[in-house]
Amino acid sequence: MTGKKFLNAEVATRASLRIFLGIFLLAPYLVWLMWISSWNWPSVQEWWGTLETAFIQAGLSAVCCMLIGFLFFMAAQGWKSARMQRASEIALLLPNVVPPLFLILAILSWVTPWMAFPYGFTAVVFAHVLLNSGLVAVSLNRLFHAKLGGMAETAWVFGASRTLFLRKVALPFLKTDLACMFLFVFSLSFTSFSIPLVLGGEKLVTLEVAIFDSIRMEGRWDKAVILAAIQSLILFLLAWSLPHNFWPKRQAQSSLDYFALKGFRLLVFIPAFLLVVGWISGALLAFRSNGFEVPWVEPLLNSLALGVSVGILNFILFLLTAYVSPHPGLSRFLSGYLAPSPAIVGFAMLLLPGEGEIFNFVKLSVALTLILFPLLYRWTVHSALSSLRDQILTARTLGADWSLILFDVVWPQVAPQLLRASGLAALWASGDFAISGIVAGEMHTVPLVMENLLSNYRIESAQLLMFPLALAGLALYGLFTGAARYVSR
Amino acid sequence: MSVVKGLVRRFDGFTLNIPNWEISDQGITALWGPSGSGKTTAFRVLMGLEPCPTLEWTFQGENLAKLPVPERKLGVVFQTLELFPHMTAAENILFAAKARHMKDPESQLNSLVEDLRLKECLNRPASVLSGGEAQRVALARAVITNPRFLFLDEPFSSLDQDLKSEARALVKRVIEKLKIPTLLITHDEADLAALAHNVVKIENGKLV
Repeated sequence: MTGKKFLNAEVATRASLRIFLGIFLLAPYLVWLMWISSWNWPSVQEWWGTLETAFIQAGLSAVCCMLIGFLFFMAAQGWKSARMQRASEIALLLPNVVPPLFLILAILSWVTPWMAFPYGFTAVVFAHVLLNSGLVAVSLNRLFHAKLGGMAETAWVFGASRTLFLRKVALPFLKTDLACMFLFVFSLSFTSFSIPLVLGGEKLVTLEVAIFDSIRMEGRWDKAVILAAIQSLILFLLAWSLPHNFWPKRQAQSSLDYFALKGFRLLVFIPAFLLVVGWISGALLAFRSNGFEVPWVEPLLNSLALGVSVGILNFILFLLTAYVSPHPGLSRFLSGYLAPSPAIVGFAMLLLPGEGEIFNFVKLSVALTLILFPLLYRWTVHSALSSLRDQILTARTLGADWSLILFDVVWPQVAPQLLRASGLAALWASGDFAISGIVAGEMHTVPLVMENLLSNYRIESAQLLMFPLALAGLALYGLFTGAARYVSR
Repeated sequence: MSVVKGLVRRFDGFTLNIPNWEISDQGITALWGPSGSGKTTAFRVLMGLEPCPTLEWTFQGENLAKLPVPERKLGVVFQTLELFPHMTAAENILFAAKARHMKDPESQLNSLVEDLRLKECLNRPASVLSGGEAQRVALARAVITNPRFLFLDEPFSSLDQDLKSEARALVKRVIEKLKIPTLLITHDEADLAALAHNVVKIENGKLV
């Protein structure tokens, strides 16, 4: 093949792969559009109340997350040593990293000894605040370091009070970034599925749950799609209005001592403390009373297999994206695209042909990848790939073909990040119960067993199962991060 | 003279160790050395931006090292200038006056505007100032409150050759007029020739 023909073939391959990626991500909607033969537009009364409650819940969750996140950010500045700063960052991100089921169990174990659990709006907002305020604190830390570090030091030397600096410099200068962060947290709470499914009680507090119930309780597939479309439209508008990445890359350290809430630095460990003590106390109680009451070894193996499969699928997609990047349209699409509702993805998988354990396993892996890939891309992969754009353009100018660029320029620099992101996908997939509940069929995973125990109010037994699951999740994450370490060497 | 003792800082295999250093409290003292010699770290430790529990810095009978950063009453121009981009040049300068609750900053502002030739750019946003203008605004902001000590970290490095000579002359004139003792960090020998009254060389974290 001549050089020119090879280049043309490569361009065509890249274009085809981009189209494949787009179609793959939009596949759940396409499956639904092909399957539903008649459409009955639901009346406004049917969905307006749900939408209103979902908005209030997400808005309140986001406001509380921003305020408490800012408090955590200031408290975290009290730690001076790099080791403690790193430890506080890990502690703050712990609720985000563990599967939502773990968070739910911890909350239940704290509350149930004291009172009847306040299922509904309050519980969901509380869980979202516990989940996301640490993420806000860490984001603020990176944002302030990246954009305000030098200015804050200057103002500090000049003797400006924190209030003056925040009012006159930080807020006006960072208003777009802060709005972006707020809307990101808003969208996380707005699309949350697992937490409102378990803690929301009978009062629907997100559109996701309404979509799920439209299918499960009413059999209204058309209504579910329309609710999902409304949700997607809202999310699309949010993403469109805030296209840039809110999560800045870690920058050279400037001192943010200026913002330190001295004497309050232990505050940053509160979310992790609530989780860890909740898990341990609940599990100890269960172990003392009954021990393991249900078979868990086979479900654990299923969870592990699911985690590995989802991690590998995500890694393949990340690699594919790296190969077809940079491309302005694709970058815009992927950074603006939010995964469809888990219910939409889950039920779309049920509509596809093929039954039996192996088919269910494949469908479940694909469904979880469809949900996790867009989130992880936005969160970690987008900035890694964007940072290489100039290098790639330089390599192209020097005459390098895309395969050479992928293996010699992109792979050595981003492979560890792609593997770590895939590790997170594996960890979350192993702890999923929401989509698994729709797609898994006869296959039992540990989270499904736990959810079954929870729905029978056997909270302690569910908590006990969390430990083998946590070990499996850590092993999965370790597998991928180990590969990342190997690759980076 | 101000006396610095026990300036020690270790990180990433590098040690900055200045057991004793006398800095003149008049004119411009230059800390001169190659990249990576520890100049900026010494500068940040003196301002209080990096921790150094062993530091003593006696200036006019007071140990500045024991004071919190704002109470050291210092002025600074960083290499990156760190102007607030959403504010005008005037707002940037007056921010420092507001920070120190300065009464009637207008007269000092007017004087600085004249000395540093800022009239043309005073009401323009900092984000659109030229390199030379931004550098002069950063200096005006640093000195408007008559700080105890002025720190200049490679303040001319971002300017082109033609602007550098002019900027050096302006800086020297303003500092001499206001009589603010100044510590200048530089690796450029031309800065030493044009500005420095005293030169201290630093290499591998030690004064030589």
